[in-house]
Parts: sequence; C-alpha cells; structure tokens
Amino acid sequence: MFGIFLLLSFALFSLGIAGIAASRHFVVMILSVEILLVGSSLLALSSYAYIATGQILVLLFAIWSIAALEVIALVVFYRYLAKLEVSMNVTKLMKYKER
Amino acid sequence: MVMIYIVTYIVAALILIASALVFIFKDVLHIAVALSTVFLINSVLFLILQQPILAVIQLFIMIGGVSTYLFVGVAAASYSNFKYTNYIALVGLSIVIFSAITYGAYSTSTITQAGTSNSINTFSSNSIASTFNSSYSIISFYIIGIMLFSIAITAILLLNRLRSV
Repeated sequence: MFGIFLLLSFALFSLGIAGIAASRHFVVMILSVEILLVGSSLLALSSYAYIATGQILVLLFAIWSIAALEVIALVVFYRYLAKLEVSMNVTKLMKYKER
Repeated sequence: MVMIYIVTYIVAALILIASALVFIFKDVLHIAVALSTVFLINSVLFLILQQPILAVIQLFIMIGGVSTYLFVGVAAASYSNFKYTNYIALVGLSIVIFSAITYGAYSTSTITQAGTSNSINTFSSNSIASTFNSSYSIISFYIIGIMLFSIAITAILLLNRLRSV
C-alpha cells in the first residue's frame, strides 16, 4: 500500500518539475510548484502512516508555509508586472531589466 | 481491504488526471478549478491515510491559496495571450524525471517490503550505501564535495562579475 502512495507522490513531483521547466507563464509555473508541494506533503504523510515514527505536523506546516509564501510572491510579482503593463511571459522579462 | 485498494487506485488516477488538466486547460479560471480539484483529492488521500484533521487543515489552507491564484489569474488575463506550455517537453520531462526517481527507489525495502533484492539495479539506495565500505570511496567523495563547493563559489563570482558588466 505504501508503494502506491510513493509512486503517486513521485509522479506528482515529476509532473510539477516538468511543469516548471516546460511552461513560460508565471502563474502556471507557480501552480506547478503547488503540485510539487502536494506530492511532497503526500509523501510525508504516507511515510508517517506506514514506516516512520515521530512528529509529522511540523513538516507539514513547513510545506504549507512555503505554499502560502508562494501566494504572497505571486501577488507581489503581479503588482510589479501590472505596474509595468507587460506580459506574463517570463522569457520576455529580460528586456525590462533596465526600467 | 480490497475495497481500500480499489478506492486508492481510483483516487490516484483522478489526482493524476486533475494535475494534468492544470497544464491542458487554457483559461486561468479552469486551471484554478483543476488545481482546487487536486487539493480536494489530496485531502481524500489524507482521509484514506486516516488523518482527517490534517485533511481539513490542508483543504482550508490550500483553498485560500487557490482563491488568490484565481484573482491574480483573472486580473492577468489580458497579459496571458501567448502559448505558454510546451506539451512535448512536459510529457518527456515528466517521464524522464519519474523514471529517474523511481529507478533509484525501486528494489529498496520501502517499495518491495523485502529489502533483499539489491541485485536488481545498481542505483538503488541500498546498493549505493554498500559501496561506502572502503575508506577510498569516502576520500573520493570528499574530493567531489570540494570540487562542487569550488564550482559553486566560482559561479557566484561569475554572476557577480556579469551583473557589473
């Protein structure tokens, strides 16, 4: 049973990493990181349920804190981009370096 | 017991489909709905693992995040008129990364529950740990560590120099 959860969390993790690499939209990249964090939280909880002992709550709250920080980073980045009125394409952001 | 296995397989397939839909959908509203579905199904998996409190906490925290993503995505819709996901790269990279991670973990005691099948592949964590018996391998790993550390320092210096150009 633990093997199913392990393989599932690996699949979610790899999909998140590939989503970061294959996408150019900033919002979709952030959502890929969210999928990656879902996989890591699933791996943490399933390993706690089947093989490990100890406290899991600290680790889960660390993962959720990272997810919440990404939301804040996205809002700050959008505020910056909306001020410049540019695209969400991250590859086009280089030409706005000097502004 | 068999019922739990069947439900777990169905829920696992659903979470994979929902996370793939995040990259397939074009509209940010639909993407946010797919991502909230991923979080919902992840909470169902937490329930299968018999952790109902953590499932509810995770659902509440992530739904707050998804609503913020929704606002930002809808507000940025006029800035999103470009083809942003390379599907071939997405599928290829997913398969390669999944194979790389799974091959290292396969035949270890965590998946097979036996722990005696080290000879299946040479990159399992048990096989890698068994090479650390001699002191020569430890020295080689020290040297590799020093090289990587110096490469990191050099990269930082180069970036600093490029920034000043």
